[in-house]
Amino acid sequence: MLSLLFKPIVELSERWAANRRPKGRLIELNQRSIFIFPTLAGWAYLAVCFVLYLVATNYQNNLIHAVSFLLIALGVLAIHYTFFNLSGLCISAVKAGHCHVGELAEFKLKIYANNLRNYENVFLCWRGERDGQRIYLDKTREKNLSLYVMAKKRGYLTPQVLKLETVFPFGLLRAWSWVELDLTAIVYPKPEEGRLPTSFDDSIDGRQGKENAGDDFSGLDEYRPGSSLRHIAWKQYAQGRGLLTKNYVGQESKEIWLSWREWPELSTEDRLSVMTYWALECEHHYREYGLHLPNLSIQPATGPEHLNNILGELALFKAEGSLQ
Amino acid sequence: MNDQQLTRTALLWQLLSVVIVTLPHISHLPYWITLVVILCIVWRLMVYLGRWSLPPKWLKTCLVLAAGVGVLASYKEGGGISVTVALLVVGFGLKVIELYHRRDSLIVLYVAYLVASTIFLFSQSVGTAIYVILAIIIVTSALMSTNLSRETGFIYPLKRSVLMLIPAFPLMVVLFIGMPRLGPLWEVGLDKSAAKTGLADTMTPGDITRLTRSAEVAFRVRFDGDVPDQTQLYWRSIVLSDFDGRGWLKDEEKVPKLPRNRDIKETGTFQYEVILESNQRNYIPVLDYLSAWPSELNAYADMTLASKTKIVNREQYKISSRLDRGFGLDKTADDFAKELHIPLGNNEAKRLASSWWQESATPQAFIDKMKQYYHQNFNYSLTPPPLGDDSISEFLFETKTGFCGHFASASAFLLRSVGIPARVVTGYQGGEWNPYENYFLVRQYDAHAWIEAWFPEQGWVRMDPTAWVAPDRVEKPADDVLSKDNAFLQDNLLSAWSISNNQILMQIRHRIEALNYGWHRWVLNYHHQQKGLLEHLLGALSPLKLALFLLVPFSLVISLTLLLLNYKKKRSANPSDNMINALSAYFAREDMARRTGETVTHYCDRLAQYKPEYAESFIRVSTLYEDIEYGQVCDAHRLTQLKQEIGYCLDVNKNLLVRLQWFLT
Repeated sequence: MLSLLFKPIVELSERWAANRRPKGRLIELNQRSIFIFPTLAGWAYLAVCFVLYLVATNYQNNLIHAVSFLLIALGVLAIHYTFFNLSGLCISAVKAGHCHVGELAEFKLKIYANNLRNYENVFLCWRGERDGQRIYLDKTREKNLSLYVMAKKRGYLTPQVLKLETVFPFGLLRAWSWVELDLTAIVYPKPEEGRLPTSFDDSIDGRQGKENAGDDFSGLDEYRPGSSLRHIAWKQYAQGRGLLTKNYVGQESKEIWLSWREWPELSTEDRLSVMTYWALECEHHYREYGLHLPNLSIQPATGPEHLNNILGELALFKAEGSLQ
Repeated sequence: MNDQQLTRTALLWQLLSVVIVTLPHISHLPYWITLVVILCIVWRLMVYLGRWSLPPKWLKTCLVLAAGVGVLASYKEGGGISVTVALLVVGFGLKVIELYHRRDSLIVLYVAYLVASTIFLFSQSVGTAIYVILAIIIVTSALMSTNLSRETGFIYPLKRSVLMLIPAFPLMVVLFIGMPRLGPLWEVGLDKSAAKTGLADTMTPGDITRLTRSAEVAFRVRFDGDVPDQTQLYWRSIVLSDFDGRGWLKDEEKVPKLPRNRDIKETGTFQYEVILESNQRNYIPVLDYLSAWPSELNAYADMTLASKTKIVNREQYKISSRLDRGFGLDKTADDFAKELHIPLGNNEAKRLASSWWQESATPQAFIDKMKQYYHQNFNYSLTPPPLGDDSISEFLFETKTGFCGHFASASAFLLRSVGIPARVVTGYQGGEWNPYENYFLVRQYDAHAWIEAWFPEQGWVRMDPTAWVAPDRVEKPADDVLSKDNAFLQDNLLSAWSISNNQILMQIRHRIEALNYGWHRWVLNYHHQQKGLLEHLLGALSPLKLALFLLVPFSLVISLTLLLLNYKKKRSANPSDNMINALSAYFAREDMARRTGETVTHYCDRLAQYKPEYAESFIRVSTLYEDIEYGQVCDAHRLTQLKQEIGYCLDVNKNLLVRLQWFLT
């Protein structure tokens, strides 16, 4: 009942706060974005000051008056000290790490300040997440840190607003700030083992060990990023001829196509999961693999960049917000 | 956030603050409370060192119950604030054992603030104030240490809290000066155990020896205008007219009140302000004879002044007296049945009195005989032998040694035996003049007893038999006279040391005393001065003026603090960044400033293309910068190199001035 009554107010204040919230990849906290309010301990401190004032008044004791005034003055100053323990902090979005559904997505941030103040005990967490990280900035002036978000579904993962909060120096007041960092991770489908793709004429395990023996060496090529490390011509590299890769005849015919049409018996999500599984397996075994999706196809290749490409497409296939 | 565990540094700070706020209370707390606190601290330290474990819950509950019962049992008579302090100390002492989380430490520290300020209920000296400030600094450091998320050095919280407390002091002063003080909201009182020495309602010779030994301040007096002669400074406090054969008591019947005379500034009077220390009684010392007094006090026909309630705090009164006229002229000899009453016993003394009376033609001659008698054989001493039942006779014929009480008692007795109404007056005599602040300081050892005798034409006349025996006692301050006596100030070695004939020491002592007087007048008794001071500063008071008086300095101090906090923003922490910024600022006029987000390497490459003849220097700048920033070889040598390289780069336009400027900054 009561929550219904407060709903419009909450929504209004929410919208107001959302408007004030700084957004971007690099955010400096200032008075526009910092909120401050006494903590429970702060109210208790106020009560202590009040008790002292009463004692002083009743005993006509000017020195106790002085103590209560000193504590009140300290409390007033603490508002500013707490505020200055957030103000001037810069948060820069460094990188979002990609992950699979069910894993923690890593978001790398850099916190620094363009001044000489020490920042103590600043707590960072995403809204809704209980765990966060405490940091301090002293003479190092710069902190790199990673915050994690549980990836629940595939596609783009934009974390909730980031909360920065501090009660330093005396715990009397809490200063906090909400910032919307322009940082998005891609969540790949969760890999799930499934039927072998048909283009996979031989089991991967069966082919192991024969790879080099069975194929005929056909010559050296210049190294391209993404080429298998196994094919690097180390001897030539040692001779100072630069990075070259060995080419083997017959590999082209062994290329694997992960095709949308291969697993008609599965649902969309399961299909994507199985395709993810096989993409990872192929990459692991240095097999060249390509991707066929209803709307696109990627030519077979190997290497981390290729894998990321393919996983990215799998993640965003008909995903919500994939038009971003 | 509250369940954060305390760091080791924080724990040590908690324990230190508990120790520091408990120490001054040890003297008046039951000894077992101190033991409990020590036990708890030791226990927690052992846990800290990993030797013992935290006590189980049932044991903690038992301890709390036992301690509560213990406190109630120790203070059977209700003791007001002492019980409260004891409970607080026991409470936070026990809490120390389970100091583990931030939440626990908050309780301990808030109570520590309270306990630290209650120190002022027991002592208010300058030294105590300094101690309490230190204690507050330590408790504040402890509070900060609980809010640090990391292990820091032990001193770090102290350093930062001192810096944060500094601006709080001017704010405190502003509030102290301007905040209006309210009167007490309800009746409170310190318990008897904190009572100080003072004059008693009875005088059996022997009591005043104890007083004489105390150098505690009884009161201070500041005269407006003329200052009377030292020999005239008889601070009348209590009149004792009942003699029971051994001791003198205050009149049991109600003494009639004096009619009010509000005109303080009558001509021929001395105006003065008495700053009276708490004496746990009602009397207020005044000079003979009262002429005007504040309306909240009662004056009585025996020329004493008393407050309506016990004086438990330091109080301040404006009084005026005139020294030139006696009182009681309207009485006749018949009114003095009480002042003539002599009980049975002391027959030898009575016989002596009547033999003198027969030889004397006038009362004055009788008094002269008395004076002569004292002069011949009597000694002034603070350690007289004890007296038996016939105390007056024994004193007059056997021991012949005593102090003011003995002489006053015997003289009043002799006068009464021959029909002259007489009574004993106790109070203080003299005082120490402080030339720096122009006031008299009267200590407990200035306590004195003298007599008053009534004569038909003159009324009550003051006589000081002690002065006949030891005239020094009246003419010089008590410490000069008494310091030769071993018993004097036995209880107080420090004061005994400070009392010396040495001129320099004397001056130092007066300086300290003057400071103390200022402390009493302007700090401890500020509520009496507040209105005057504010009116002096602001003219006629109004709530608006007062609000402005509080707000303006308050906001000034805060803005100054903020400026200081923000001032640090102007400089970048990084010297190499500063240099690159300077380089960029120089080339900005040629539209070659560093773009936002541009790396230093990229920027230097760009500059190298822009000024190819200096390309090598620019490349060296970027290499050096990279080394310093990312290669972890940031030493002074490389910074100098960087500075030199940038110096070359700035030379692109062959402007010597720019280079000079660069190397000079």
